[in-house]
Amino acid sequence: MAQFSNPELPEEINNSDDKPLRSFFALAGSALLIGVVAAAALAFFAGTVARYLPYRTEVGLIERYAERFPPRDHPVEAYLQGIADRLVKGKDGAGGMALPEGMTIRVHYVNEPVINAFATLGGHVAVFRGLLERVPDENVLAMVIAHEIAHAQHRHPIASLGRGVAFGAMLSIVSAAAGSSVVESTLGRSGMLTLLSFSRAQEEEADETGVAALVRAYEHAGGATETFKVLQRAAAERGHSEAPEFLSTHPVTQERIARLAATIDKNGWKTEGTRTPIPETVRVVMEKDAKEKPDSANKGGTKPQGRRMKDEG
Amino acid sequence: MQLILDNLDVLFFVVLFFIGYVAGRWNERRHYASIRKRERELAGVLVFSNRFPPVAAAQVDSRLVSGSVVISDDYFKDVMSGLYSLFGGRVRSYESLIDRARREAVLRMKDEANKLGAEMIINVKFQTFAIGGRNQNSVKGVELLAYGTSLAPVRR
Amino acid sequence: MLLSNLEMVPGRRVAKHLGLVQGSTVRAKHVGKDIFAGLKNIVGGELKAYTELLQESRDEATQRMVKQAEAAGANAVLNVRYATSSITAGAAEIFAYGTAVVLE
Repeated sequence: MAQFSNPELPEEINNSDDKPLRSFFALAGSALLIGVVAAAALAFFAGTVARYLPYRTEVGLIERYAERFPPRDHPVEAYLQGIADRLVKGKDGAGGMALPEGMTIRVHYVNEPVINAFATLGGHVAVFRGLLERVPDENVLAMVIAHEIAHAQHRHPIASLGRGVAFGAMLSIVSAAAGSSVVESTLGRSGMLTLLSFSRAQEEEADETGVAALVRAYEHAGGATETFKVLQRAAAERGHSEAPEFLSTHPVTQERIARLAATIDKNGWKTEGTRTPIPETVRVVMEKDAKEKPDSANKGGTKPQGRRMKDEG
Repeated sequence: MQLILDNLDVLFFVVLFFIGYVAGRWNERRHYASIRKRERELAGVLVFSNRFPPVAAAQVDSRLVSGSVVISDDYFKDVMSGLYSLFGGRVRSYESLIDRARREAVLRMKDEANKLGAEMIINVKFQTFAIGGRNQNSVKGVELLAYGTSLAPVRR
Repeated sequence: MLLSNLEMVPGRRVAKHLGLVQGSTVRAKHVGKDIFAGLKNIVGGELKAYTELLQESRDEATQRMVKQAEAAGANAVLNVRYATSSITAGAAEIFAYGTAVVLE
């Protein structure tokens, strides 16, 4: 006759979850690291490929949007376009900026009180009235425009677009497979921070190219560093404080000024010279515009992806 | 301040994660303590997966008994399962969940048998059902059903 | 350790019934294999990664059941059954159980 019994069984056989917190930090750390490395590799690859896209393709991408902003007969826009042409060609056509073949820069004046300027696909640069009202003279304004043209010259808008698209696609594939919102946000966040560092690198590149163009067009670097002080002051007035660098699309203003000053110093450029004032006619037109309805009320639509001088949220 | 507002979802995550970890661990520890205590109390009811009763037990009262329980996932375990499935291998955070559910279900089944005066449950079978399953937005939990036939000596 | 899904082992007598023993595990494949499996859904065919996943899980569950049987002092597990459930996306929960016995 067989015996029947139920001996006591050890507990840990079917449960191996002994150090959950430690596993969490190990796994989350690795996920973060993979997110950063993968995003960096992807961003580098996509950014590089995007730059080799023919310029015509880039123009095609923005065409539909650009059609809504045809060239218009506006004194401020003409003035801005004049500065851009001078920067591109250099003083008296002595050679300014090395634009990719076939690229033409078109500056748009946007009648909105926002303190902003951006460059987008197809060599389009937009300058907002809010920014124009703040700049003390033409040299400071030229630095802003030179910086934006430099973005276009280095094909930053298309590179950013390529990076964004590639990163978004990768993230959606991985998170769909992992099936977890936490994994998605972990990878997404670490990847975003990596993309931001690419964005800051672009700003630095544009600063350097921009100031060189400014010097060629105006024969001195006066106004270059002031540009950033103007932006910083404007931000402070509105109660914005600067986010830590790693969370920002742009480098911290102080460091930016220091880096720019070092570049100017290294190249032996003059920091002061004759400053060109902003013509009184332009100021008058802007004052009149300020009383009218802003452009956004008439045109509508969203802003295209672009490289901004400084984000004013 | 701006920084905090911008990253509100991170803050939510940290809070939920912390609550999930502390409360989840506390719950689990308490549940295990209760399981161990009741397992000792109900050690007199034996469980087998045999289909046939022992030969000696010709005069028995046989009845279907069952026990079931639904145990919830916690936020910490959920986060961990996502990370584990990213890297592959054991999804350790859910092992304890299922272990607890299974032992609880057996205990409830034993309790029912005990009330019937049984000393043995044979032909025990299990069924697992994941509530929510693959739907991410649904409540996550695991249902465990244990059932078998209890054998109680017939008293005359 | 002898495993069988029979009630008895032909030619041998069961000396002791040591009750229910069980082994369970939840396992997942890393996300790369999940992505390839997703692509495979387009063309069909065997999902090798998941065949492997379920096989590994079953092995582990069996091993754990055997460990419990060893701890109980048994030399065989009879009436072995397997059950599978899907507790979360891309993960397999496998459960093996049976009765631990001592064979003469």
